[in-house]
Amino acid sequence: MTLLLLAAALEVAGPVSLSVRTYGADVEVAPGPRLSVSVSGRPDVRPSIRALGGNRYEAEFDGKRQLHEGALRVEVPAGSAIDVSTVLGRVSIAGVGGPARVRGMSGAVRVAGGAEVDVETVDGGIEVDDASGKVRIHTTSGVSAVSATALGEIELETASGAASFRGACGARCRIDVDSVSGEVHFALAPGSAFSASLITTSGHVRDTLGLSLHGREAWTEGRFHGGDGAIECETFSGDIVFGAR
Amino acid sequence: MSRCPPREQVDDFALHGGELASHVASCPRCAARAGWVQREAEVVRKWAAQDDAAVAELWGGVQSRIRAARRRWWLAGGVAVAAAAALAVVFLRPARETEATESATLAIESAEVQYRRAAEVLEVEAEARARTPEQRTAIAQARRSLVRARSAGAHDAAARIRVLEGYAAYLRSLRRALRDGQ
Repeated sequence: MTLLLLAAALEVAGPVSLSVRTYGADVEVAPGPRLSVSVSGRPDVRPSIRALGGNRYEAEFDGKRQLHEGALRVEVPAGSAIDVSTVLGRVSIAGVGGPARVRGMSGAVRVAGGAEVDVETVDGGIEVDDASGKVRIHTTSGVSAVSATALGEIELETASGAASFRGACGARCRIDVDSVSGEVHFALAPGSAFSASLITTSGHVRDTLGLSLHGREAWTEGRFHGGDGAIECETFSGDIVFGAR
Repeated sequence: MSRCPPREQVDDFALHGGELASHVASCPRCAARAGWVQREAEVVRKWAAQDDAAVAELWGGVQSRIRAARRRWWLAGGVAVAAAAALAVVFLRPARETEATESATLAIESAEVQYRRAAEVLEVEAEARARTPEQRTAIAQARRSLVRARSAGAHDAAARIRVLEGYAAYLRSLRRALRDGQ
């Protein structure tokens, strides 16, 4: 038996700003036709797209703002801004190329090819690939992974979640990490050029990349290939590890 | 319109005024940034006023560091201000409890323990190196404020997360106070 998924579609003038809220429903956002927004999901819940004024829209489900469970696929014009709030749902935003804001709790979040990316979770893992603008990640214990050919401006705050950064850190690379016990791992391309300012109270700094490190007590400074980029990393007990990509 | 100045200069203008007025007036991006800094600073002032926490003393150096532009990292001041403002949300926002999953609740509880332990270790070091009674008082007041915030938001997951962000800002301030006191 084929289930007919209910869908809502709306013609728009260009990139939009769309909000989607779920409790446990997964959300997948992808680029669609240039002048339309569509939301499709469960066969038993009728979605709609409510205009909020200007280019702002909000998805609704049987007239409610939050979809409790299931899965949802959203298509928006490339360059649209996406705002997803969920408790348990997994979120994937790929290829849209606009700003992405996700407020999650325990579900995993993946944003690929976003512009400015702003993600908060409690214990949900976070993966951000190839962001073209500023990346902000706040998580309590979720594992975070940020990768890009050229890493840009990144702020990451975690209590115990491990964090990793993969790519080149050169000009325009500004990475600021705060962790209590989560290990922070930098896997950097050989073409990187940056200065590093590291503070860890009881963690260890390990370097196989070849930074020229010097410091005393908890503070360590280092440089790699001149230093156009900047990495600032502070932990309490988490180790800080530099290695080659 | 002239080229945008570095963000720390815009932050400095927002807090202290100066010669960027004409640029900021004609630049929506810099005006938005300056407005944000001013609003966040006001929220921090309101937060501090609730129990006389000496925020300016605790984070003394944040603004002066911005002004002196000794640090290349503009985020240093911004994060401290924003996280303190987040802490203020616990008090300023009407209570609306946020449901948390079991795993999230455990993660928050574990993080609270970790942040508290880390703060205790750094507080001992900071108090030992404090040069003035005001610095010791600032640490004690900040600690009390965090305890109060934790208590106020004890049953709300969102509030507890904001308190964790307050702890993160507090730890950062303590670490930098220790480093700058070297």
